[in-house]
Amino acid sequence: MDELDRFSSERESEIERLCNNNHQDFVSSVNQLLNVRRGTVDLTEEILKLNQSIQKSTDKLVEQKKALVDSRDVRQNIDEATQALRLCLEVLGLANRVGDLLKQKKHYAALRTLDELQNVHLKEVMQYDVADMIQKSVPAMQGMVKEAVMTDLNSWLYRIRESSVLLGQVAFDQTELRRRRQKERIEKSPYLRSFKLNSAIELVLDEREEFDVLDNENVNIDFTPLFECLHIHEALGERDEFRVTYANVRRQQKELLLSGSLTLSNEDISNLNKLLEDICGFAIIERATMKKTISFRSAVDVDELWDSMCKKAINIITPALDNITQADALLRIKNVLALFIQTMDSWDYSVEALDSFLLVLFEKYSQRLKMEFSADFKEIVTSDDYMPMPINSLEEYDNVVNVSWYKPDKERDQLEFPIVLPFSQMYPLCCIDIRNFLNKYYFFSDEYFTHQSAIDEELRSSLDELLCSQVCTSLVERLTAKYLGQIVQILINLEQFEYACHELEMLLAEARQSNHGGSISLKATERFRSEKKTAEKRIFELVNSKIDDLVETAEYDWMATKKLEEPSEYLQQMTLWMRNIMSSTLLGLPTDIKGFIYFDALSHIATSILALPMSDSVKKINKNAVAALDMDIRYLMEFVDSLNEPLLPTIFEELRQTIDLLQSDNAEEFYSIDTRMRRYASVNPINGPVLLEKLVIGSAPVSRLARFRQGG
Amino acid sequence: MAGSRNYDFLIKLLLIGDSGVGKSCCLLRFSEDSFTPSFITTIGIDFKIRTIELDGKRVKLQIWDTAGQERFRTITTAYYRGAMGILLVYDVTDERSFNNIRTWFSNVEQHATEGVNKILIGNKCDWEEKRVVSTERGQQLADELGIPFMEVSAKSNINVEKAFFSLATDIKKRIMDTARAEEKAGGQSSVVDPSRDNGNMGGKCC
Repeated sequence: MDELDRFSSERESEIERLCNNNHQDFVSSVNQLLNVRRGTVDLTEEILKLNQSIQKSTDKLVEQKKALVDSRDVRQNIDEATQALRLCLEVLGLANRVGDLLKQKKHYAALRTLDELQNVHLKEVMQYDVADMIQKSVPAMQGMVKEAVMTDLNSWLYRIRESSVLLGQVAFDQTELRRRRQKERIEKSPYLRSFKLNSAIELVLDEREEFDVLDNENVNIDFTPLFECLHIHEALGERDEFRVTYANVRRQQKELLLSGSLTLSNEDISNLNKLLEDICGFAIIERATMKKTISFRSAVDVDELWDSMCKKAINIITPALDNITQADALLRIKNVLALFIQTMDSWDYSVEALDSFLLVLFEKYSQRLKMEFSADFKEIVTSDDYMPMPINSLEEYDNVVNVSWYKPDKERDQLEFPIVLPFSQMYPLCCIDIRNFLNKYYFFSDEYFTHQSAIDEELRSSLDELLCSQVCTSLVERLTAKYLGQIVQILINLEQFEYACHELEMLLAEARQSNHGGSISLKATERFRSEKKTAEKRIFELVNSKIDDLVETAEYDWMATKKLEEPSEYLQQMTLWMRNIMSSTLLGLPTDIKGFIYFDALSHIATSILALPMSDSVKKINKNAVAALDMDIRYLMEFVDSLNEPLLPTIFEELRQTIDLLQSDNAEEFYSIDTRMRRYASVNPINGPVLLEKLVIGSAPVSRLARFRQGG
Repeated sequence: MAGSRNYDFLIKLLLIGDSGVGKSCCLLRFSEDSFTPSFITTIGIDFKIRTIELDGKRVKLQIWDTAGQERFRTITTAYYRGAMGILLVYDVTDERSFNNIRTWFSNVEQHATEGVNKILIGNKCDWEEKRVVSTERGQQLADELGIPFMEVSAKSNINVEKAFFSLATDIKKRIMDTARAEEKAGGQSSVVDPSRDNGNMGGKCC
């Protein structure tokens, strides 16, 4: 320690010496030091201050720097967001555009946009939810496009359904126009006659006439909606589905078209027109669709649809026909159908079923015609006066002769009116009816009918039936009349009808439209011919019954006391009556028939006269009575001679020879074969002896007579 | 011998009048009791027979039906002479046919046997709504001509029978009167059955 203290004190003394040596310096140093110190403090202070202020200023900077960094981040974020938003906006914009395009009905553009959206734009923004959303909504939007085009298509389908009647109408009119043009062409060059409507020749000739049924001033069917729809579906790859849908829709439309029932009446068949026009319009659109698209509507589909429409239409029309009772109405129906068929044929549709239906219609028509004409004929036959037809002027004559099948015996310019035609009024009336009947049959084949031979055949058999069952039978029924004039007229009419039948046979063969050759024969011809015999027999009957009536008034006195001076009253009446009916009632009969009737009547007179003395009630005859008979027979023969009919005088041979025998003085001659063959060959071998016996009794002396009387 | 004949008297009657008045219909009604509505014109001449009984005698009526049409006039006139009774027929619905009765009557006067019985017949009396000739006018004309009168309807079968019977009765009476008168005057044919003789005379007076 002391060392330390000594060291300390040394040190201190040194310090002290040092100090004393350096005090000034020291002091000045201290002062300096103090100054420095003060300066330092100040500086430190300054520095502190500065530091402080620097500190202060960097704080801000740091702050700012930090802010800067921050804002840089934000900015990048914003940029990214903006980019994303832009993309999204584009996508959304496109998505909206799809909507707008849809509104503007630019369906395909919409679809394209959608496609672009899906395939290009959407891919860029896949990371966003919105993209997902939109992605998810694409099918919906496609659906919307589809829906929109389908709506359009549906309204189009509705429109074409509405306009198919009109379209049908226009098509019908067009066919009618083509018919007219063809007719005009045929008028100019008749060789074209064999070319029907829709034949290749007609089609070529008509080619120059350009007319689009689907696009004209009345109808304009724009297929754009369908094409668009098809296009869209194609774009969507749903072509096949669409094809099926469309086919189904059309099938439904067809069902709708033919769903109702049809009402037709004799007066109004406009419903049929409408139905057929509708079907026609529908089918034309089908065919046009098929032609305008490629493998969209299959031919099989369209034809199937057509076949089913035909079938259905026929099923609808058939029951409606029950209401039609007039042939004319049926004819009008046929004409509408024919127009329909020709129109459809020109659109390459098969018309076989319809052709067959026309045949059914024709059968109905034929039946109706037969009924109508039967009634007409009946009326004509019953209301006839059965008098030869008087004609007062050339004009009247022409009218009758032109409609009748009649071969006049006199030239037209040699006629002096008034004249009387042989037939009664019923004949020309029937002729008119027959002509109408024929025409009505041929009317059915006007313009179009493929079963020509059916008409030829049906017409022949119908006409035959009408002639036989109506005309001929009705006439024959009237033969029961008791009035001779009527029977005679019926016979004359039958003869006229027989002639008419021959003419008709030729007419039918000529008018025959099918090409089967050969002649045509009507059963009626034979019927009329054979019924003439019936009428003839009836005339015999009537004339003979009149003869009987007159002979019944014969008043021969078989035991006359004196000879008569003139022929019997009844015979005079008989000849007068015969002369009268020959010049009036029987006058119009054909000469050969007249001959038969005279022959038969006179034979009957001869037989009746001979029967008078042969009667069982006549027991005896005297010479006066024989003389009276002789006079009567001479009188009759004179009458017969006056008739100038070569065969007639032979009729009285038996009567003549019988009276000769009774007048002969030698009755034994009759029993000798030789003289009998020579003079009495015609005398009946039984009658002769009977009469001779009666004469013997009558000529016996009164006493014998008295005895005979007592005995008898 | 008389047995061969089925009648005692033969009376011949004649129907005349315009075409369409219904002569044939009247005759058809009387002879066959039938009617046909259809109009059938008589051509030339026709006759019908009906045997009736009058006072127990069989009277055979031979009735001749003539055509009313002018063109058959020559034929029909020939029958006037043989007729014992004539029915002049008109149609009460046809004024002309009535007016023509005077012409028909004068034809009868001209061509028929004197003393022939006549009767005026107005046919179609059932058709009142169409009638133009009154019964009174018919009667008046008949009175003027001095002949009996009757309105008939062949269609409704009114008076047809009566008209023929009345005419036949008148004729039979006339014949018998004449026969009786002749018998008183000559009486030469006393051997023969009088009724048959009368029939003969009837025939000869035509």
